[in-house]
Amino acid sequence: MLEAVQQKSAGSLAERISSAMDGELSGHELQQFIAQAHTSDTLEDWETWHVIGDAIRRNTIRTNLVSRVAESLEAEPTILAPRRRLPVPAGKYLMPIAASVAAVAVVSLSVLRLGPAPVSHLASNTPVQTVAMARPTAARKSATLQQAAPVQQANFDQSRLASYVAAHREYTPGIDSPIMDASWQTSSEPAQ
Amino acid sequence: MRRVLAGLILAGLISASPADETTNIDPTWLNQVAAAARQLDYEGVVVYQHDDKMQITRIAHRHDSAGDIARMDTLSGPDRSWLSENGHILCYVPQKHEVSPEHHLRHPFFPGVLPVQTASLTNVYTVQSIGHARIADHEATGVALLPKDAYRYGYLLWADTSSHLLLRLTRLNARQHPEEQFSFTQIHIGSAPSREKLHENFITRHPVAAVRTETPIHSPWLVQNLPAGYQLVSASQMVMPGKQQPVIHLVYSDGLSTASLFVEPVSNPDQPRQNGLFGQNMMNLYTRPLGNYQITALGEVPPATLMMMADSITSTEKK
Repeated sequence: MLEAVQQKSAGSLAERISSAMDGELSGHELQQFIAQAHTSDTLEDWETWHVIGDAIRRNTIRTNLVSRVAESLEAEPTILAPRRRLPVPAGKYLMPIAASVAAVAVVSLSVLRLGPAPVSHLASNTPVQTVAMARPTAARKSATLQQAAPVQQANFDQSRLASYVAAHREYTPGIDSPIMDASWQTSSEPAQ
Repeated sequence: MRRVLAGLILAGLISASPADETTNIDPTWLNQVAAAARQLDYEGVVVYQHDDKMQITRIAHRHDSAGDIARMDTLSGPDRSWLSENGHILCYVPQKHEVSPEHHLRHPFFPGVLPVQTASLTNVYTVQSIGHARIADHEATGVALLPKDAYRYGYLLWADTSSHLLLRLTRLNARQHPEEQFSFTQIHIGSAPSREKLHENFITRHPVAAVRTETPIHSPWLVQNLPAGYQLVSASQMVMPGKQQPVIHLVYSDGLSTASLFVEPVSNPDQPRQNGLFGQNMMNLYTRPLGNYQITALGEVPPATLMMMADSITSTEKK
């Protein structure tokens, strides 16, 4: 009996995580949820749901990648069609954060391009969407995860970001030269 | 429910590999794979998939009495070539008809991605056989490097069974899910183009000045709490466009997973300061103010790694 009750409450929590992810909670509900979300179990659930959501949203190239990982391929080269970029809800990249961290803004960087990208892409794409999570005042308005107003100060300077990513990529495996990315961005050369 | 679904995702990955491969991995296997990329001659085509993109590059590597030379030509996207010779990397952009010297010597090009010393990897990654596969018409042996803690992501390595040349590298995310992959789709091992052929388009061009430089420094800033296995591999300062004061760039790596920390003096103290975590796919970024500096950590490592590093960075310099 007790078990059944526990399952029920777990079920409702799962539902609320799902609702929060889909931006269906009201401001008050969201605030409650965030307060509750500081327990590690909830965060684990949250992350799992995001993974599942990601899995559902992803289309064939990911699936292909998975099945290709450990399977011997019958014939190579395999032609794979590039996956189209899907619109990403602002909450998609939410990550669990230690409760001790007072205020951590989690931002979906739809403009962060890690490969070589034309200047226009870095500069003029959609503004960075921001969700202020751990500070209740920031979530006070009726903002849901999807409708959260971009917080001006959380917009990470794009040219600084590009420089940082380029500098970092010098030390990580890649095909493109990271430095070429940097000069590409500063020389305004079209990528095509 | 959560566990069931997560289990299904994992099962999908595991069941794709032959289950009967329980043989122990030869401890020298990783060393052999690391050495093969540097010592063998080879030429092939690599497909690199990351985010939602795919890039195709022809790669040639030659190791002879004159040393190492490697060349990369893009076959998709912007037309570019790189020549890496004796520690110098040159880039050729056909539209610009010029060659740019790049003073950045460390950038590991696939398949030369493993550190020379692989012993430390086994301290922080569990090495596990994942069977055999046919990759680019070669018989390949697969090994998974799975993280022993939450401070790094995992990798799958597939190397040619006879020569040990790395044929495929897959990066896994926090869920052991493939996120990024380099893979040869065609390769000849044991032969490479002549040096003349590899130099084509590079000799007759005039080099242009490098756009940006990083100079090595003895950094007063150091991370105090490092996750297991991470070591400082580089400390430098770089001049950023439009910035008066240089930014300090520290690089910490466990041999495969790498995090960068940037220490930037704040030029305008009145500007709102950022404190937050950003992420896209495997690349995470964490930034926080510290006195008159802004600390930013980024890399293809879990957020916990970046936060641990950035939150424990201190300067030995008296202000």
